[in-house]
Amino acid sequence: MIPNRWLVHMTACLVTITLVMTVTSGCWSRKEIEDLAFVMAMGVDRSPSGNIQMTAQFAKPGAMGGAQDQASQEKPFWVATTEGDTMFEAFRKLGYLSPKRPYLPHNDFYLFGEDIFREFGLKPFLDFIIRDTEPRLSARIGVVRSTSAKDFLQAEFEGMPLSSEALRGIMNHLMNAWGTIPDITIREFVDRMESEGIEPIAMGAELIPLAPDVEIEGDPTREQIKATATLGGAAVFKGDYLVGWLDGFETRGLNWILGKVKNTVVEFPHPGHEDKIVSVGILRATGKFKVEAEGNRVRASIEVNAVGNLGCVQEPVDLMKEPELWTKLEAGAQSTIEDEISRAVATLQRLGSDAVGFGQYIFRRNPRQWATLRERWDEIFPAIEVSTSVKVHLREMGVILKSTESR
Amino acid sequence: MKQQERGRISAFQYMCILLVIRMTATTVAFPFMTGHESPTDAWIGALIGIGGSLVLLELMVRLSLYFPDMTVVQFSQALLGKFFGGIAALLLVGFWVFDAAVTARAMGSALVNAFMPETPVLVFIIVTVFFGANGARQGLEITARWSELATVGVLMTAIMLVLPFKAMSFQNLLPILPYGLSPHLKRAATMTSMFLRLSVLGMMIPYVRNKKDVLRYTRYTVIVSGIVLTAQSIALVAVFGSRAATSAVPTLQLVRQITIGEFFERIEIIPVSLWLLNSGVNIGAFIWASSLGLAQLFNLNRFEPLTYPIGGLAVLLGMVLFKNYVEQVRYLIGLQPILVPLVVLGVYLLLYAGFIFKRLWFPKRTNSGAPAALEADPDDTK
Repeated sequence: MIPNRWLVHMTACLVTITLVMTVTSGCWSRKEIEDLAFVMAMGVDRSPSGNIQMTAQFAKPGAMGGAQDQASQEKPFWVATTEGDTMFEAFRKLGYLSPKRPYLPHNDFYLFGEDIFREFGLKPFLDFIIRDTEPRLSARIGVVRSTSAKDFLQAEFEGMPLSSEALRGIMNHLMNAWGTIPDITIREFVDRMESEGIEPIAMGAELIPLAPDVEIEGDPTREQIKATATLGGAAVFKGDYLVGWLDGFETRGLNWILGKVKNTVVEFPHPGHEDKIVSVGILRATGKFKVEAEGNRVRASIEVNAVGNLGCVQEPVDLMKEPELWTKLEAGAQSTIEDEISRAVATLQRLGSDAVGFGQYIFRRNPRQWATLRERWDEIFPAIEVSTSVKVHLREMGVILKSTESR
Repeated sequence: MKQQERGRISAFQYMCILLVIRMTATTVAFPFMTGHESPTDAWIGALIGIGGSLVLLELMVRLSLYFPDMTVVQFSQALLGKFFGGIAALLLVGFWVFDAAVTARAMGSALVNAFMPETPVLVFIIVTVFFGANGARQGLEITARWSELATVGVLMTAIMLVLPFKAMSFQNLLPILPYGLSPHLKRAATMTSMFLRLSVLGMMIPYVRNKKDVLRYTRYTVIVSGIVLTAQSIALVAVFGSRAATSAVPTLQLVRQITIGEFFERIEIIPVSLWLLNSGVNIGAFIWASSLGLAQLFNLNRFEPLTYPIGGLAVLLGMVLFKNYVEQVRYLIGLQPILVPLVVLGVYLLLYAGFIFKRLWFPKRTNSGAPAALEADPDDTK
């Protein structure tokens, strides 16, 4: 009897251990790293036949890193394009071209061709990204201006061979040093889409074709870079559809309002010498807005505070002798920022897309009032009166007290 | 007197078991947020639910403390007579088995949905239920010790709520009450029904060593888990805005948002393994309670042989109850807020009725209808 019981006990233990091992260690639905093809950026276009055309940029781990000259021998990424009726199908079809299993969690960019959002709206594309378990919600969404996302993903960058890494570098740089692109992840994009009184915006992306290099000297093993790319501006949506664009400075105008500008350069005419330019480096800025509604009349007041240093002047200044120049320079910077803000708001009003969130402000503070305005917001928004108050404080002037002057 | 359960637990362990039960699979699915209108001010609904649960659980514990050495199965027979008391007890036992199945399925479905779509949900259910049933078979003390370990999960959950701070925007918490109070009452009903799963405390109280602390620790349970759940709802809204209500596994998605310094990412495996452990302990407590209840109801000598069959029943139920996760969520937010209060509160209402009736009509002979298996005279405690 006793060995029998011992046997039962051991069997039970073994079964438990096996089950726990198979399940917790992920042996069941396992994914080995050498069997995966990491998608680094994904582009979606409309194919000539009207389907979804998906372009994936895969990392080529073998060509990454290593010796310096190796990078110039082989591109560290490769691009595959498939077609499908849905995003899911098109993604699975990448398997026709990729010997390894396409793997999405490391993807940082979802780039869409401009036409596709104008014609189809967002619905057919976003669902896959937020429903599937693989895509990350912290990825960025971008709209490629005037070219297709397929061509965009072929772009290469000097200095950083893996183009999705390079794109991320440019994106971070623009967000931290310029503020000319919107800082929006897919999560925030979807939140804007679903929230009351605010419309989504996405990063704008542009391909820069380069003139072919005729005089190739040295190693002809690899083609020269045909095209590079950059980011900038914002794609503006209304509901599901792409309705227009904000250029870089208009996007910065929007970012001033939202308080998302971190560090940037502001230029304005030199006080007294209108043909010369002064530029000021803004170090930090805060922005907020208030919206008041009385009946059909809605007024928004925007308040921006910025702190900066003098960047450079084209007309010599002597701040020791003319202390009142500070206020003039500050006023100049203020007028530029005000101009950017009013341009941004005007463009948004022309497009009829409340990307600032004026409606959201009312909804959050006064949901009852929003219920009465909601239906007519399309008519109310373009007529909102916006008053802007910008304060710029210039602190320092660099390491010289007085400009150099020729005698 | 047949001593089916010999173990004794401390009041702290009692609290740990209750905390683990409250914070498990439901934490993954988070039904009190999911699917309800007006997610932005969900904390209002949470607070209403916590207040209600505090009162209801207090009443349940107080009734149990009148019979400090009897489980709810035993004193229901003492109060309502052998037949009706038996039926009431059977209802509770049935609910525990059912809820073990629901919990197992919720955990399994969440894992399948979020991590391993190819793995059959049956595997996760079998693993957690087997773990729980095995613990239950060894008695309450084992489950209690496991739960002490698993309570770390509560702490972990609390930390997880702070970590995605980069993605949080507290402006999302506005507006307050845009759709009036009614969505919050529904939400509070969901929350209360989740708290009523703690009705297993009726089985545990006789085995708590220090009965003076039971009431206090029950309140702690409600307050601690309530605070964590409220904080969780706030964190979810701060990160996801209105999307918090449309996510199937909001907590998992929240954990996925954690990014610290671009390298501290993808740590979801830590909370997930803890939730797996929690579900196991939770199911263990339910299986222990239902098998002990059945043993006491039918006057069996031992309850241990019942644990595996009940576990098997829970696995079976977990598989057949819901076709998919959507049905499960629909149960959690639609049917559960009606069904669970109906069963648990209905039974306790009957028990209270019986209790008051006995008090009024037979002030001296409170115990006249008690089964032979009585250990002590409940009048001692008055």
